[in-house]
Parts: sequence; C-alpha cells; structure tokens
Amino acid sequence: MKPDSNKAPVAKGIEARALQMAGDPILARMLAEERVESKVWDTALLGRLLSYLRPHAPLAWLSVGLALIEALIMTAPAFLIGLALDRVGAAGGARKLDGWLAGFGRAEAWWTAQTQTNVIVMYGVIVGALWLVRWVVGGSTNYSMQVLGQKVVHDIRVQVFEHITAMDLGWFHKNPVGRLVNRTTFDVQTLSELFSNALAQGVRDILFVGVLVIVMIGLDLPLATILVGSLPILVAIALVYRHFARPAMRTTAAVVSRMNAWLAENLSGMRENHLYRQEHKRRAEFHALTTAHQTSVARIIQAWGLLRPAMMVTTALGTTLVLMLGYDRVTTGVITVGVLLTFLQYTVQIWKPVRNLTEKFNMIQTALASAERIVDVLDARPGLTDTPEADATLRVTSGAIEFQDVRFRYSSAGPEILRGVSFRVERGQMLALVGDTGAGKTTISALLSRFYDVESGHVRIDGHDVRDYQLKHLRAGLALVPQDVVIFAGSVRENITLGADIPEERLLASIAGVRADAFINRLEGGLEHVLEEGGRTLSTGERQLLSFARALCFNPPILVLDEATANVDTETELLIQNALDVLTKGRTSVVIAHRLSTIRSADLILLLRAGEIIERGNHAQLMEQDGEYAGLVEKHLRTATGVQ
Amino acid sequence: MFSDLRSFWALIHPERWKYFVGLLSLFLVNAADVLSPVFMAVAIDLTEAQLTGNAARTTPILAMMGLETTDFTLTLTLVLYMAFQVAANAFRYPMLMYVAVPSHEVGQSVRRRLVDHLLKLGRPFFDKARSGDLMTLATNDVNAVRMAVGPGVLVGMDTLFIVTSVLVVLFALSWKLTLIAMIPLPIIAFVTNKLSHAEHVRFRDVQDDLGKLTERVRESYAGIRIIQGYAREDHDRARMLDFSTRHLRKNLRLARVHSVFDPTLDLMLGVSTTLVLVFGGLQVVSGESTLGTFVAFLFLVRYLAGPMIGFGWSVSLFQRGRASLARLHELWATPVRIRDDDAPLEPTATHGALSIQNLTFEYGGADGAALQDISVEVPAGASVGIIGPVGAGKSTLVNLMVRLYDPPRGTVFLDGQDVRSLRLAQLRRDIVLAPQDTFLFSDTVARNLALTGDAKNGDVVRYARLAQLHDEIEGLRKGYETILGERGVNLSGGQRQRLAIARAIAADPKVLVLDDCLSAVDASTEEAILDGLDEVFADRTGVIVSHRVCAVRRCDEILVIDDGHIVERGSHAALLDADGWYANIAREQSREA
Repeated sequence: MKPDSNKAPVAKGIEARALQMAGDPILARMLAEERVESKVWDTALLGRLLSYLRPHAPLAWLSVGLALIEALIMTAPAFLIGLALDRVGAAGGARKLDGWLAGFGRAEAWWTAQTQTNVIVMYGVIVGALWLVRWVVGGSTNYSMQVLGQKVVHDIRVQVFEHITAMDLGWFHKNPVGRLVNRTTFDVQTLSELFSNALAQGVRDILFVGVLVIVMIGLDLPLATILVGSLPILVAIALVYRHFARPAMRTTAAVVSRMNAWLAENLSGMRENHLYRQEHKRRAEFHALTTAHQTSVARIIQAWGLLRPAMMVTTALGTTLVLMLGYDRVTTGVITVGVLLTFLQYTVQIWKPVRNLTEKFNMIQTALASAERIVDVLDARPGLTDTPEADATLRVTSGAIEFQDVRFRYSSAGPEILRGVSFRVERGQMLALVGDTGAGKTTISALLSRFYDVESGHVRIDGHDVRDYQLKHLRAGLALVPQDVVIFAGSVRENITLGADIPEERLLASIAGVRADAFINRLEGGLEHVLEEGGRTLSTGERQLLSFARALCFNPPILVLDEATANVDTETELLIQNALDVLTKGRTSVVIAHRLSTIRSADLILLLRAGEIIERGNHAQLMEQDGEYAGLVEKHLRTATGVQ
Repeated sequence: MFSDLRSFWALIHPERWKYFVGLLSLFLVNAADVLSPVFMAVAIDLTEAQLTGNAARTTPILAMMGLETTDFTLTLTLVLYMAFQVAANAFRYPMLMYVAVPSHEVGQSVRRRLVDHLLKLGRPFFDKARSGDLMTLATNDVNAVRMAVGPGVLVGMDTLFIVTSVLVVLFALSWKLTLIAMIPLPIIAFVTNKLSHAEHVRFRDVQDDLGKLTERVRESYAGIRIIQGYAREDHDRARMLDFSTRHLRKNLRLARVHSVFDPTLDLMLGVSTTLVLVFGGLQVVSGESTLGTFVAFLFLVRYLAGPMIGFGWSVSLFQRGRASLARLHELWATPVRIRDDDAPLEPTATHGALSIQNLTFEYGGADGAALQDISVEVPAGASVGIIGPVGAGKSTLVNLMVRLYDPPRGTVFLDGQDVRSLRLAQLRRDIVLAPQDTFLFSDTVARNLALTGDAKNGDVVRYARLAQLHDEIEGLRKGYETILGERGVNLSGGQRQRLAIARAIAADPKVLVLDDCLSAVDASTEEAILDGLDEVFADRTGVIVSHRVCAVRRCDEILVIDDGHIVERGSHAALLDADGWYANIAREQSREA
C-alpha cells in the first residue's frame, strides 16, 4: 500500500536545493512521500467521500441552503447602496425596478414620495438589517458546515479504527504501527480540513460568484462582461502561483516534519549523543535543517508576494475599465450612477473567492492524498475470517491439542517456517517448546489462536480443526501471556479484565492466586490505580504478574505462554515461578520455555530446529537419549555455575 | 512591558536593516493605496458633471493640494488611479521579502539557540524535563515568537500607517463623517482580540486531545495481539468510540468560535458602511459633500476595517509571543552544570587506569546517598565486575565514571587525573559506556553501530560478529544498510542490547563499561558474547555490571554492591569461598537456569 520511494521522480528546483542543504537521507524519503499526490478529479474517490455525507443528508442540504441565502445577501448591500444613490443624487435618473423586485419598487416608490432624508434613512435601515441577517446566516452556515464535516470525519475515524482492529496479524506485520496510527488520526484529520473547510468554503464561494454574475448581468451586460472577463485572468494568476508555490510548500512540510522527528529522536537519544560525543554532529545536522527550512519558506513568501499584487492589479484594472466604460454608459443615459457604484463595489468582492480557492487548493490536494491512503486501508480485506463451515455453537472445553503434519510460511514467497510438525498434547498437560530464535516456537503458539492459517495439515483443538470454530469462540478458549507484557493506559482492573464482565470474587481470586495482590495493594488506589501505557511505573516482574492475573481470571482451558528472557532478581524469579505453577495447574499449557525449571516439569518437550522437531519426549527421556537436548542442558548448567 | 519589547528587539536586531526596508515599503504601499480611491472619486464626479451638465465640484482633498476637479480629464484620472494601484502593489513585494522572510530567519535562530542549549544540558536536566514539554517549546513556542516578529510586526505597523494615513485623507474629505464611521472601530479591535484568544485556547485544547486520541489508537494497534487473542475487539472499539466522540465535541467547541469569527468582523464593517451610507447620504443630499467624496468614503472605510481586525489580531500575537519568549528564556537560563573547566587538564597519556576514592554521591532530593564511600582501583588492562540487586547503585557508579552525572571533585580518577578536570570530549573518548537499554537513531545499522564515525566498513562487521549480531543483521532485507528506529525496522530488546555492545566496542575506548547489557539476551548467546569479549578486553580496561554471576565471574575483581555500599569484594573463586551473598546468589542462579 505504500508507494516505493525509489520510483519517485528526481527532486528538482527548490526541492533539490533544500535536500542538498539539509544533506539528510530521511528528509529525502519524507519529501518523496509528500510528493505522492492524487489526481484532483479522481471522481471515484470524490464520489466515495461524498457518500459519507448521505447519513447526514438533511444537515448537508441545510448547509447548502444557508450558503445560498448568504450568497444572495452578500450581493445585496452594494446593490442597495447604488439604488439609494440614484434616489437622492442630483444625477439620479429614473431607475425602474421590475420583475421580482417590482413589489419592493412599489413600497419604495411610496416612501420615496416623502422627503429625501426618509429615503436615506430607509436604505440605511435596510442595509444595516441585511448585515445583521447576514451575521446570523453566515454564522449558521459556518457552524452547520463544520458540524457536518466533523461528524463525517468522526464516522470515518471510527470506521477506519474498526476496520484495522479486524485485520489479521499477518497484515499488521506488513504495516508498522506508526503508519496505521497515521492513517487513523493524521490522515483523517487532514480529511476533516477538506470537509469542514475546503468543501464548506468552496460551496459558498461558488454560489457567491454564481449569484454575483447573475445580478451583474441583470444590471448591465457590458460592465458585467468586464468583471466576468477578469475571472479567467484571476484564475490564471492563481494557477501560475500554484505552480511556483507548490514545490516549496511540499518541501516546507517535509522539512518541518523532519525537524520535529529529528527533535523527538534526539531528545530521546540525548544520553547516547552525550556518551558518543555526537553534540557537534547533531548541531550541524539541525542547523542544516533550519537552513533548508528558511530557503523553502522564503520561496513560499516570494510566490505569495507575487500572487497578491498580481491579483490586486488585475482588480484595479477591472475598476479602471468599469469607470471608463461606465462614463460613456452613464453620460449616454444607459445606466445610472448608482449602477456604476454597485459595479465598483463588486470589483472588490469578486477576487476574494478566487483567492480563497487558490489558498485552499493545496489543502484539497493534501486531503485527497490522505483520502486515498485511507481508502487503501479500508479496501484491504482481512486475511482471516470465520470460515463458512464454522460452527457457531462450538466452544473450547477440554483443551486437547493436536498438530498434524503442519506446514506454514508467512508469505507465499517466504521460507517455510514449519515443515511438517506433528504432535499431541492431552488435556491438562504441559508442552514445552525449546529451540533457537527462528526455530518456529512462536509460530506454533500463534497457529493455536489461528492468528494465521496453515499452508497444509491441521491444527486441532478438542478434536476440531481450529477453522471450524468461530474466531471469537476459539480465542476465548485460550489465554495468552506474551513475552513483552502489553499494558494499556487505564486502571489495573481494566488491564486485568480487559473490560470483560468478570465477577469480583473471580478477579480477586485470580490476583491472589498469582500473588499479584501484594504489589497491587501497594499502588495508590489499588485496583483502580491508573497505569500509563506500557506500564513504565511497574517493574518487569510486576508486569509479568499482572499478565498472569489476566490469563488466570479469564480461566480458559488452554494457556499459551512465552516466557520472558529478561533476567529479574532472584526474589522476583521465585514469585514468578510460583505464579506459573498456579497458572498451569489444571489446564493445558503451551510454553515457549527459557528456564530449565519450567522445561523439567513439562509433560512433553519439543526441541525445534528450522521448523522441524528434532527431539521429543520428557526431560528424563531426553536426558537419557543424550542428544542435542542433553548437551544444551549441560551447557546451561556450566554457564550458570561458573564451573569451567 | 518595556522589557518584553527589549527582548523582542534583541531578536530582531541582527535583521534590523531588512526590517527598515520592509517597513518603509509598507509605508509606501499604504500611501499609494490610500490615495488611489481619491481618483476614483474624481472620476465619479467627472461622470456626474458630464451627465448633469453642472460644473464638477472639487473634493476637499484636491482643494488642499491646490487642484481642482476640472484640471483633470477622465483619462488622466484613470491613468493616475492605475499608477497608484500599481505602485502600491509593487511595494508589497519588498514589504514581504524584507519583513516576513527575516522574521523566519529570527525563528531559525531562536530554534537553533534552543537546540544548541539542549545539546549541552546533561542528564540531571533531562531526568526532570518532559520531552513533550520540550517538543512544545521547540515547535509551538518558537512559532509563536516567529508570528509575533513576523505577521505581528507587519500587521501592527500596517495598522499604524494605514489608520493615520486613511484618517488624514478621510478628515480632509469630511471630518464629521470620519468621526461617525470610526464608531465601530475600537469594538472591532476588541472583538478580534477576544475571539482570536478564545480560538487559540480551544485550538490548543483540540491539539492536546488529538494527542490523546493518537495515543489511544497507537496503544490498540501495538497491543492488537492481546486484544484479538482475548477476543476483546468490541470493548476496545467502544473505548475508541468514546475518545473519538470526545474529540468531535472539542472540535465543535472550536468550530463555534470559528463560525462567528468572520461574520462578526463583517458585521462591524457593515455597521461602518451603514453609518457612512446614512450620514454620507444626508451630506450629499444637503450638498455638503460631493457624490465622489461619498464613494471614496465607502471604499476607505473598508481600508479602516481591515487594519482594525489586524490590530486585534496583532495584539493577540504579541501576547502569545511574549508568553512563549518568556518560556524560551527560562530554558536558556538553565545553567549547563556538566561542562569543561575553564582550563581543562590536557591528558598526560591514556592507559586506562581507573581509580575511585571514597566516593559518596547523592542525586539530590530526599532519597539520601545513592553511593556511600566507594573505593576501588582498576589498573590499566584489568577488569572489574559489579554485581548486586536492582537499585543497589550499580548504574549510578558507572554513570559517574563518564560524567553523565558529576561526581564530587577528587573522587573519580582516570590515569591519576580527576575526571572533573578532564575535557569532557576527551573523557568520553577514553571511557565508553554501553547502557542497558540503548537508543537507536533513525539511520542505517552500520551508522548506528559506528556512531563515532571512526570505524571502517570491515570493522563494523567484525564488531557485529563479536556482539553475536552479524547473522541477524544479514537477515534484514538491506543488511547493514537497513534503516532502524522510528521510521524503520524495530529491533528486539536482546538485539538492541547487542547493538549497544557492538557500538561501544566500535568506539574503541581505553575503558569499556558494560552496564547490564546482557539481561535480555538468552543464555547461549550470552556465553558466546562473553567469549568474544575476552578478546576485546585483552588490551583495555573493563567494567561489567550485571546481576548475573556468569557475566562477571571472569573479572579480575568483583564488587558486590547493596544499598550503595560495597558489601563484598574479591575474585570469583575467593567470593565463592567466602560463602556470602555472592556465593548464595551463584547457587540460586545455577538452580534456576
């Protein structure tokens, strides 16, 4: 799902300059990622995004309706001021109001029959009132569009999260956590800009220009032609600006992310910077980044410094032409001075929507790129789901395990990880898996929970293939104790029960069972003590015990345990040892074992190498065989006691 | 207030000439900008005169300049109008290039100064500082200062210039109308300031909440194995829904300020326009002013509203910038405690003899002494093992050797010279510490390994072999060129520890200190590494910290530290014979294994 950065086009211009200044390979990668942009008018993508509006259709229509009203109101004051001028000015000609303004014309005619002062006051009141209405309507339009956008984004965020948490572990291996987090928060946030800002502003601006053009044509076609004619020029200026500014904006965005990443990294690695005397090197790295930043920012300002004057000179030119042509048309009596005045005010208003759209363009581009990445995630199908044959009533009850000639590889092109593994573990027995890194121990334990599907052969629990169970029922039958304990931000209670409805007695009994009560009671608030993510405030041993308590309170027939290799002090070691005895009692257990004591008490030991079982039996049998296992045990003993 | 201005001035000072040119341009922009509507007025008056056949009346401002409307033809008027517009816009470019660009230069120098200072501060500072706060300082606060000296200055000066020049022109046109049109202006400035303050506060709130949401999501993805393994997806999704809903609420709170911001400012402009319409209209009716004057007014009021909005905004920028600058100054004022003496000793000759004499050390705070009366002599080329329970003070002792914390003077010596008197860079070249959990930079394996840049390619492989890491690195997709860290491959705890060892060896020190670097390595690998280390330690001094007997037993002398004291010392054999804590732990560990 990630484009290969090698295929990205070669950096040119400002991008190349910034890269050269920074001399930072990671910046180059970040920049390449920034450069991946979507086509603006990818209709399928836009259609899909708009479909998220459907559940909020009433709000969406309300927003558009309000925006239309606002657009109408925005054109009114200039029109009315012109009208007022005609009524009072010495040059005021008879200007007829007809069509849908006829009613207003009659009311106005009566009032105008009074004094000129009245006329002025009347127009003043109307214009003032319109501005008040516009305040209310404008505020409401803004808010309803924001609500719409934020709701849509909330929907998308929740959907993305639910989708990702339903994906299989194999997919998680291919997609680093950081990237997935970015999809769920950062990209969705960028998308929110599209909905709440660009879309809202865009709808309003387009409606406004539309209404403005209609009103102007209604007033006077030749003058309207001048202003409408200036629109393409304004758009052309905007496009030229975009051409110059975009590479610079992209570069700046990449440099800023790089600076932040650099800072975060070097703050965390400050000790290593000191220990290995990296201060000067780091200083130079950061200074280079700031230089690159300055260069790219200056380019953006330069582009901006040309855009605004260009647009304003164009507008001024429009005004000049309106005055020139207006002179003729007023003096020949085709239009009134009031109409001319209305036009003059419109010249100032018409360039703003174009400028807004220019400013928004980059945002739209970025948002669409984010949208594309999000859609990629949503389109990924989980590799593992309940099979059609899965029996909804099937539960894991006794805990007998059987592997029958299991072969497995993580990806079709990858090496074979398990090469025909077969074994049986009866209910209540303990299986110890022994072997080097990469021998296949972890894979065996993962296949039990059906985190992956086998390539051939069968994994059976209670005599049923794991694919015959519904995933949630299968997994409810196993308790996992991983090597690195996962601690979530939340209370100790929540961390043990994982939010499940577990009776208080069972919870307390589990905690006491693994003797985690001693340290939990010491914590402020006990069970309700709030842990931070990763449980940094707990020691290694305490984290282990917490993980054991979690497994015990779910009390499933099977325990899958990956023993921690980390050395703890002897006292903690004893505590863990005792807890392990409690945990494995009365249930089938599969242990990836590192401690001789654990291995000794196992009913079956499998010594694995490169996906094959090379020795099997219990401790006594294997020692008697005097094979690899016996050699390993002896070496262990020698190392630990220091007998040479 | 005055001192705030002074510290801002100090920032701008190196760029002052650019600012001068920029602000001069700004002045010219305003002057031209303000004068151009006058010609619009003349054009309207000429049109009206032509239509009605009456002689055109002269607006007061022209009269002030000794001119009359009849001096102008329509063409001349329009040419002048365009000329002023072009001039105004031409000066906009230097205005931006000489204020906005230098303001970023100021931002860069603030940013650099911050990072330079951070790089100098030592462990004691980072123990207390939260990296989140430092990040905020480097991003938000630097940005706030930049905004104050950039847009803040530009918009502030713009207000000053334009308000004075517009007011001059307006007063010349009609002083009464001017006073009336100005009524809403102070309100605009006030409202803008309040709204932009509220917006800022709520925006920060949303950003903080986004941080929490991100953490929540990250935690679920990182712990997906447990969530799926215990089939708790539904509960986890419900938790996420809560977070997302809260985030939605906070965003809507921000949206409410956003929504009223622009319409409110427009309303203020509307009030001014309405006032001009009514009172200006009445003046036209009574013949007190010309139609052209009235038109010019309509346009100039717009010029006033903009700067007023800007003024409120710019005040709010200064308020934020001032607070941020104060925070930055606070950090810059943090003294660098661990640093070179004014005249550091030049090393005589480095052999690597370590000597610690009556060292007592406390971190400060209520915890009391972390180490008490430690004395040990390690001759050049010898090795010492340090063993003891968690929290005994083992790491503290080795941290003091490389001055991650400063030992008291006269307690720690390298080749007879007090480490406090040696140049830090020299000390850390001679003594290298491999910490228990090392940090991987987002860089290639090779460069992470050879951090000091002294090692050649072939050496890197050799060091990786010594640390039993070579095979696993070869197994990575790009081998030694694989990028590690945040944006790359993540190594396991054991792999990280082995990389720490390799990294330390690669720095080729006289004294190599391993601080419990084998705790996450499995037993057979540990043995292999220890075998390899024999070769490494052959010609250098070694300090090995562990709580495993097997790691220290080869050392010439072993210190058993408990609660900051040396409780036993001697060779492996001697300590076993002594049958104390060490012998006890050795027996325990052989049973466990």
